[in-house]
Amino acid sequence: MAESIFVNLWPGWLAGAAISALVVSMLAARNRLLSVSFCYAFLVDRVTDRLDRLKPQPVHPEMPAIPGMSVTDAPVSNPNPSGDAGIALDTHWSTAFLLGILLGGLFSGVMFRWVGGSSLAFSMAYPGFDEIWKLSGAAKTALLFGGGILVGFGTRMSGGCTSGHAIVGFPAMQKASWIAMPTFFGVGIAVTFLVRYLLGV
Amino acid sequence: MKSVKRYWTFVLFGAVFGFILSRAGATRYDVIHEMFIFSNFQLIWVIGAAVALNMIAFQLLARSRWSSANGGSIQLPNRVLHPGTFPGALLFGVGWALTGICPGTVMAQLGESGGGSSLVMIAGIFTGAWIYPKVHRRFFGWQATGCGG
Repeated sequence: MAESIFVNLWPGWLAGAAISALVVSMLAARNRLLSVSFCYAFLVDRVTDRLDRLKPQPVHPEMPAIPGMSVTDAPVSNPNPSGDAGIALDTHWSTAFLLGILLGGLFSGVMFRWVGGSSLAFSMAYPGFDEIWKLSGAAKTALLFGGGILVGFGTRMSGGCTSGHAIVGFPAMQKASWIAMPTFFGVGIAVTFLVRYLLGV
Repeated sequence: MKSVKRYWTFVLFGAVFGFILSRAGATRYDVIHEMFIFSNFQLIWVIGAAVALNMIAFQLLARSRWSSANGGSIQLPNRVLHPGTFPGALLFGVGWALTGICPGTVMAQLGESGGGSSLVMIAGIFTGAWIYPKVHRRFFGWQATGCGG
């Protein structure tokens, strides 16, 4: 019983249903839409804003003094010079959410090892990736970091990721998501085939 | 800290999300890779079920005029279609295929395996998210906001 919960992967449809329940609960309980990419953007903005405020700054007339920093429970319509595609501009909850995701993964990992009986090993190993790419050291770090930049930059530019566009925007019939989701899926498929071809996999 | 009391529910929501992502296999490079070459449909089922159920849920919510427990009417998605939507998705798709991660899954992955690889990718995501506004201000400058999300 414990194995089916903590070791074996859940049936896909069940995990999907659970995610849907989570999206709806979050909306009903706290009036927030799930979109992880914005969480990173807001956190970055908050940190850079704090750092900027340490040095004397002219206030740009076309920008609000603290771009994207209003902490409010109501959705805000606000010219946002950082270019983020519109969501309640509230940074604190999103940082808490990111931390939560980390903790949830931690719980899952700990239980996986405890119930499944494997050891806790922290390393640069990236199972699945290592078998295909066979990289190490600087090359691996560079690829992972560069890929991360593409993800961070691309999701911010697009205004969402698989949570924001695919499981929230797309079901909500948002035009932007109906364009974004097939695009990143299609590109993901194409690039994967290309990579496999180039690596001779 | 006032913030802790106010935001613990979001930590909880995040934890549930991270746990589900991990148990669904979304944090595993091979599962995503195999999804892209159509040899493993696990995540198609995950996303498919979530999309189908959310479609129904959002339709019902739009018609019901419920207000959230916060007070105030429920903030339904209002994603702005803007010039960055498509090219951003292109870039994200490339990064996704190369690394096997999304912004959410990598955070769960970090918790799950504590690996240095996850940290490197997360550092990349923060860097990309940090670069973007600078590039936007310099080169793009389209208006990208609307109400809600």
